[in-house]
Amino acid sequence: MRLNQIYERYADKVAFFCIYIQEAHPDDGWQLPVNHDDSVLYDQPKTMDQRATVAQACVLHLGLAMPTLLDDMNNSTDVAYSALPERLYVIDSGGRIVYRSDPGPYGFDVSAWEQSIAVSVS
Amino acid sequence: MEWCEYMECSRRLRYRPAAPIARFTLASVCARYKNEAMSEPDFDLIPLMTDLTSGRKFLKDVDAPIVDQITSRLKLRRDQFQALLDNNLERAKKAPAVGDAAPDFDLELVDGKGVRTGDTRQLSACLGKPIALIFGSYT
Repeated sequence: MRLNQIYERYADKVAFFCIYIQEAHPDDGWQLPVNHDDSVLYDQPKTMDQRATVAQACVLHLGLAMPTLLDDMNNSTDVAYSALPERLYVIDSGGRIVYRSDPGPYGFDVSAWEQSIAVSVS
Repeated sequence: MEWCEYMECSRRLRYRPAAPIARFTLASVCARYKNEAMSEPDFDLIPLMTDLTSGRKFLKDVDAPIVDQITSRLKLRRDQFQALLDNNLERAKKAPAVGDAAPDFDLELVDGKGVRTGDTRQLSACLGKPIALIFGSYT
């Protein structure tokens, strides 16, 4: 998985976090055929334990290597970063945003994200 | 996020794979997702969808047959798709921009097996080196 490759390449110089946010396509919301095909069928979590259950399935199934954090049930961090459904950011060592992707999935440009990471450690 | 991996593959193949090896890779990706909604012709729609969801183009400027193709694939009516795009753009306006201070967070960490730890990680406590963030969900 490419995200893991990037994580392993830069993990000694960059802090990585995957922030697990609300479901983009829950079974009780806008479901997509691809989720049916892959049996990725989960209702929108209403508790932290429910969110953690889906996040665990995600971490294990995708083999995500980087530390994963759970957004709270107010979706505070998702809202603060306008992250839904997916988004990538890079923050410099002083706390300024130096890269922000377009919203996913179409804007989920891992190559541009990696390039920004490379610049930030150069 | 799995969907994003597919998108990333498609982007790296520059949407229209010409070389045999690229076609093979693309076929593998499509087969993996076992979904005719992701058949090769739809790759042509990815640049347009990227522009629509990021607000660089508007649905009213897209030819009706193309809109029909997209909404059919997404299993949405046109008005639902328009509402989705409107909502996306409203949210996007509020996204912190390059140069802005990154909003702080203090969120619970799950371990390598995806189990809750009770420990948290705070963004502001990690400053001093660059921070790379991925936001997403399983679905």
